[in-house]
Amino acid sequence: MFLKRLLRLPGSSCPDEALTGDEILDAYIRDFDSRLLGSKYVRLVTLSEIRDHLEQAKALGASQGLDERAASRRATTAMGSPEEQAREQRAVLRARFWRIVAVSVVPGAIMMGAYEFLMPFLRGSSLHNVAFALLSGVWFALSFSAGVFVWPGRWLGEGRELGHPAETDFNVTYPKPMLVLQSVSITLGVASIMVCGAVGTIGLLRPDSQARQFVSPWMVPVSLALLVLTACGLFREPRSFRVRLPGFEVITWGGFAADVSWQSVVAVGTFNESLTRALNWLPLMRSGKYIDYVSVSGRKHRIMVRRDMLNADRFLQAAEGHLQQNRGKPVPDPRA
Amino acid sequence: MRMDKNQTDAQIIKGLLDALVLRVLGEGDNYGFGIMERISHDLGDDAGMLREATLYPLLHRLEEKGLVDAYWRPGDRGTDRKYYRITRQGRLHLEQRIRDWRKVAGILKRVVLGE
Repeated sequence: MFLKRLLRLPGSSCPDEALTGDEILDAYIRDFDSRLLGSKYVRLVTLSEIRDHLEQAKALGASQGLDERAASRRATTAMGSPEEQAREQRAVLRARFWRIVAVSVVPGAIMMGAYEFLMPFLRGSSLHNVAFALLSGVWFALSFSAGVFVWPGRWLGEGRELGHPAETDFNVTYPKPMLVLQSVSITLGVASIMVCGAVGTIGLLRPDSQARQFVSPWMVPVSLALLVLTACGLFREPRSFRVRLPGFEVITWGGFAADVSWQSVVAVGTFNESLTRALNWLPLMRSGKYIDYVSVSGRKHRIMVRRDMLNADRFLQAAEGHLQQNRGKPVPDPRA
Repeated sequence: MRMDKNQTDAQIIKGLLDALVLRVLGEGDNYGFGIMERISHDLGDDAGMLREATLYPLLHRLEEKGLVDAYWRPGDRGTDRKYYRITRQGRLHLEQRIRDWRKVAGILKRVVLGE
């Protein structure tokens, strides 16, 4: 019960967007919603599909001569008990929850075990600190990944915007709480690397200082390397896209923006087409889509569009549509 | 372990429904209600074996296994509608299922029905 209450936050009441305005259908949807797990956003994904079905079943009943109430009643009866439907959604969430636990805890435990095993051999050597730094980096990467997976929006796959954005001008980005979570994780990660680098520098400059006891001077090049890698990641990794005529803008985590015209899109695909079955175990890999485009410099770039981004489907459909239109035409020289 | 008749029927029907849904999606992307309508039409008098209460959990299971993929597109009422499309893995799974059913049908004909 506590877990259910916890997982229904934020927004424990039935989302208005899922309701139809029909008393009988709405009573069914509210009952169904009360049995679901997940945040309002997660539940809305499930509820929208059921609402769509109920509305169509009702319309079919009305077209066969039933009055409105009888058509609604028939639609809800045919749908079966809300508990039966909700049980499946809870089972999916539960399975994903344990998958997240496995992704974050099991490798973490193996890592700590390896560290404990290596400790007697490394004690007193500067490699001890390097091993610690590397394991900390792996731990941070795992925590970050687990954080991204833990956010309930991840649990039911694709993200969707409430309402309809304009077809030619809309944003493709993560739900706000997920953006905040990712930003906080990145900030903490960068801050911890900088602190390690600073303490390592003090240890290097003043070998007799207390800093030397905590972190080896080896930490300086390691921290620098990690910082460079992080900066590259922030510069390259897209945080969001802005779709507008005549193309879209790629905005990276570092705030850099690059314009891409629809004409320079050369391929749209799914990662699972080229990945092994083993990696398909990860939902991110299984449903991850990519768009290949040629940049102004003439280089081919691949951007990953995650399905949990709001409006991701709309963006991919637009890219596929333009790709079909441009098929057979030569890719224009972006420098021209 | 004993299995009663209803359990046996449920097992057979469950295996059959997977293939039916994948076959409908093999013809083109479709949404829950559309899949339901199509299968009910194809099954005719046996339409009762697929209920709405079974369809969505089944679609979600297939999605979870990576046999189908889902996306949202505006529906005719202005609200978003969830469409499903079969994946490459789903097509392979369907082909395997069809081979299995053919084999079972052959055995039934030869051994059980004596045709």
